[in-house]
Amino acid sequence: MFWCVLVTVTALAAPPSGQIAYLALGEGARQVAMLDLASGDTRPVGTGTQDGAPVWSPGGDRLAFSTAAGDTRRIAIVSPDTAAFEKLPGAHAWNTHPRWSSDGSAIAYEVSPGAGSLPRLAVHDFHTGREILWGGGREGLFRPVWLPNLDLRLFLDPDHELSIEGVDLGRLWAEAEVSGAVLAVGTTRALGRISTEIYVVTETQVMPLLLDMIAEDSERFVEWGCAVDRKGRQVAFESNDGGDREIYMLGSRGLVNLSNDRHADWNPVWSPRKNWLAFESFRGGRQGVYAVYTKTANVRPVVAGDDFDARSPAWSPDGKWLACVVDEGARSGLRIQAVEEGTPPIDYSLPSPGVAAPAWRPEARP
Amino acid sequence: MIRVLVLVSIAITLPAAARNADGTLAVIEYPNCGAPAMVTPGGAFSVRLREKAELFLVSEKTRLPLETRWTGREWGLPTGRCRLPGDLIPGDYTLEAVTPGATDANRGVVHVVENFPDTYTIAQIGALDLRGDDEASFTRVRTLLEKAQAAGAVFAVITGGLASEETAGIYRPIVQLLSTAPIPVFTCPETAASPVAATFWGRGGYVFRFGADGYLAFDTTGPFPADENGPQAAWLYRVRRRIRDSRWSIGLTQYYSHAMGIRAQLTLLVDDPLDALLSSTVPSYEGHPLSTAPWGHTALFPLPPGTSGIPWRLLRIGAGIHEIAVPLSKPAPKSE
Repeated sequence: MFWCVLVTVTALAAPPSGQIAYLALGEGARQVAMLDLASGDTRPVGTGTQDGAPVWSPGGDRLAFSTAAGDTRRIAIVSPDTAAFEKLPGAHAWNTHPRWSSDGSAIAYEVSPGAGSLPRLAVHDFHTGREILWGGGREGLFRPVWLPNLDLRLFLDPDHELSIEGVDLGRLWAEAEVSGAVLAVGTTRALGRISTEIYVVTETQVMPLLLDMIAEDSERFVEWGCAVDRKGRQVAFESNDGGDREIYMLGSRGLVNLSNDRHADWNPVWSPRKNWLAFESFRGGRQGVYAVYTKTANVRPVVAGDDFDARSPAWSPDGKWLACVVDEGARSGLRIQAVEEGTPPIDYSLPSPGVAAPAWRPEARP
Repeated sequence: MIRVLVLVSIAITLPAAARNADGTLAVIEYPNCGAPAMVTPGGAFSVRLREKAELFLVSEKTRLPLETRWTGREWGLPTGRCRLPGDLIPGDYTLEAVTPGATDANRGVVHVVENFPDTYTIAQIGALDLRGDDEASFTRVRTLLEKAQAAGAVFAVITGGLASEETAGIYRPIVQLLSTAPIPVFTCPETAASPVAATFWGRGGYVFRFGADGYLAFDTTGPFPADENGPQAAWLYRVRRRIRDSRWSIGLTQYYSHAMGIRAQLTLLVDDPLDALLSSTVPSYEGHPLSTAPWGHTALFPLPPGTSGIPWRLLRIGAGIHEIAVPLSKPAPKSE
């Protein structure tokens, strides 16, 4: 079924092509759907009524998202072009937040017995068809993101002499060479309460990202929203170090506060283009989407206004455009905005009353 | 079935909240009988309307036009602040909204009090789980509110579900129940559990002040408690800052777990932690029930469903926030 979509272009501009997957929010229901930017047509993906945010495979041929069935949530894999649909046969009742490995051969996701439990990390290997708990089954690991390579090791452990209690580093890097590694936010106990740190996770090992060596009293602060750049050499995350939530970047230059503002900044998303990062900020009063050039920490508003919220930035494959949700309260829609200043926005008023979690389809790999 | 019809017909025929004929909210979304306003003469209260309107404060003797300063939009609706004259006589007032096409009134939802005491008592009430075919359950709630009033509670917060199912058929008599409650009653939003709830109680959530203290009622119902994908995260951030200067900042919600939406927890329990969170679930961490949110700082006041009757407690808010014993007293007189 195709829906008719109202496309509003404020002024003449060459709209980007491609497709965007998103969550269509209705009354008590949410379903993954897809928007074709050229035609404005939308269509549902799958048959779910309680779906989670969609994530594209690196080649753009498949979507992964969690979907509810009774008291369980499974990871659904859908090929939008062929309508092929499968649910991963996970061993756990509650499976959420899938992320593809950089070659598309595996998916990492959170697993737990139910909605009220702290998650563990599992990885489904498409070659073997097996699901394996990662991090030795450690509880309290959230939001996995794959490292595209192990270049991060160059500045984490340059001399291969690091020693961390409880971590077998030799085994960690050996496992990472074979099966890859993910970064995840993990709960930790510090000063009599829980906090979070960012960890490198392999099948049996969980290693802190060593923020405590770089940032004094790191355990006092709560990190979240971890993202790795395309080359795997820079990690962005949010932390309340400094009193409010800021976007930090860990890379060859050490730890840098990229967003520095007295209002909250959260949800960093790397551009496919080098050194650009999008994030959400309240610095203008309402929630807006901003971009920062990481070499200079120069922040510019992309979609921000006085009478609406903008959230969930998603980069186009060429890194020139950002898609995001624009929310005026009663309804929300999709807006596409060029990162370069002076280009008018393109608004898509979709059939569903609400929109969430846009994900721009990557270009097909040759 | 007959009892349901009786309750519904009472709700429609009595001159309670005007609302729409089917009991849903009309022009005025806030304040309503599940989220009233408490204010002193000369003070101001917030409104959220379906459309901008002329507002009046109405009692048996007066119909006072209110000066409204429009402050923006929230959940897509216009919001404003209404300031009261300094010589207004304390009491319960009806808020009336007049638009070019309609007149709406929420009866008795503006409670003008002489002053806000530094130390006061509130009643926390757990899940009501009212059923349309159980008239006695409505009487029990009425009696409980009278007990809370007799114990000195200045208002009540219901941190559990109102009904066994979120339908218009059961919400209509609850509107009647709360419209005639002996003390102001604040309910927790359950919009995510049912879109019908928003049509009776308003969407999203709300904040209010009682003197130096700020209260934030937010929604954690539905399949994704404190959902991170929708508009709630931004709204929570903004309203949390709005009550930042409070002596005590107190959250009201139905459900709390350390595994619920992390963004809401970061906003309310980590970055700008509430002083207290009142809910109906007993959170645990590593197998132990918690008295403080596991992130630290925020004191938890869970009130789970009881084995018999509606759970409730009295909380003393002053130099601290703590539970006090319910005083032994003569039964409150039965209402007519």
